[in-house]
Amino acid sequence: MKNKDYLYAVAAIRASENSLLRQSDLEQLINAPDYKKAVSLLAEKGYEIPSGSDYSSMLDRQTEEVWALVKKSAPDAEELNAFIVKNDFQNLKAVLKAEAMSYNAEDYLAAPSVIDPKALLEAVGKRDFDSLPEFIRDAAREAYDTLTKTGNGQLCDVIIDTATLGAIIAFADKGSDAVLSEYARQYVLCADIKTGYRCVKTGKNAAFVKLAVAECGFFAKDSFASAVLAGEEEFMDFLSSNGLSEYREALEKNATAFEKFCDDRMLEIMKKAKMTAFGVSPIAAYFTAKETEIKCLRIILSAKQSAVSNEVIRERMRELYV
Amino acid sequence: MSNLGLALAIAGAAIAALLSGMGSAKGVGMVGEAAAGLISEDPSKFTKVLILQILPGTQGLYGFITAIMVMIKIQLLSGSPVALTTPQGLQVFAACLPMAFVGYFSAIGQAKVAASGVSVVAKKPEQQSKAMVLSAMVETYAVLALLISLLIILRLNFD
Repeated sequence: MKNKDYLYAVAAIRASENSLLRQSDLEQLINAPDYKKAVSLLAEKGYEIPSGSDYSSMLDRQTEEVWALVKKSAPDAEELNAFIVKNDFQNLKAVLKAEAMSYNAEDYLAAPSVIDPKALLEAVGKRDFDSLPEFIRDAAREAYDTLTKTGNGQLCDVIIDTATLGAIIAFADKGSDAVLSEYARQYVLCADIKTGYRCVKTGKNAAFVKLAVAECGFFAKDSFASAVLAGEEEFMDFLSSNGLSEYREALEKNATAFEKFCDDRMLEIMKKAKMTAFGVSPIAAYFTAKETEIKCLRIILSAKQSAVSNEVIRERMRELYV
Repeated sequence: MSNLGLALAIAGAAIAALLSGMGSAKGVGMVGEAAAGLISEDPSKFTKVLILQILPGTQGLYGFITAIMVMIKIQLLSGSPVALTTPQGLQVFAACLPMAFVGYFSAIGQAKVAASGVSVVAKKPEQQSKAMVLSAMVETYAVLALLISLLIILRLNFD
């Protein structure tokens, strides 16, 4: 598909960008005296009022609505699936565990997703993995075999998580959009560093590290695994020597700071789409912008419910697209 | 061989109208698509984007003018065209080429700028005039090509 085929979609998305929340809007919400006031302020910005304290379902619906708009704008852009394919693998985890422990997985399914969760439920229920799309088929089979033969839930999760990262890059690379490919690699890099750091802390072996880390193009998997096995200091030095000092600094602060750093970094990549007149990246950027906005709202509303101080909320706020 | 000269002149007129018209049709379509995307979210901006959509349409008009000028020159409209030699026919044909090619490519180039301008209107409607100026810059080359084609056609002498 040529970039000019997204002329309609990009113009519609640009118009929708006007309704994105700005830093001043978030500041207003943060300064709200309580949850109730924050919710009413949010309603003034066009969000629906959540029923009681359940703001999460309302925000989930928002994400689904934004995704529906994105798909309506560019129905053939498979590369956009890179943004939601993680939900498919999340659903796979839920379905496999529900199957193993005989409970209903439907309450744990995430949306939006590339494949219909019902199809996933049916395929796993019937052990018919061949009916699943290629991007998830092998991971589903391998994770199921691992879970049923070894009962090792952690290993099953690792298999699925690594497959998730591979699928994100594979989908992003389906188009010829450099911004999307860069975003996907950045996402995988952040996930790899998080995994590596956890492995350092929990003393995992080389085989586990290699299984849990996905190729992102920033470093060789083997040298990454060696650094993880060598200990925390060596791991941090490895990051610095590979041009990832900023990641090291964020990681040294705390997990929350690292999460924020990664989210900001990914949004920074998507901001390049602001200067793009055509193509799929402005559409993808809008989805990321809305996701970031929703993430900020979750933090604010959750903090307001728990009466967390405004300073702490501000520390956790992500950069916004607009 | 006088028929070949006339045929070449008519072919020149046709190609000027054809390529410029094709470029404009494509360009107006591109901007129209972007404009429809904006209007689907914000119908109040219809007038602002309509002006941007019109811009790449001018090349089609220039091609039409060129073709008409050729037809007047060779007295095709009167029903008794001038008997042109092959070199004279080639002269008319060559005179039409600037408008034909520059018309086609400038219309598409202008459409890309105008479609980007639709995004400007979507986000900052008060900056519409700047989007129009950027798009109008491309028009310069279509106007220059029209001038060259017309000047050549008008200065040709078939006596």
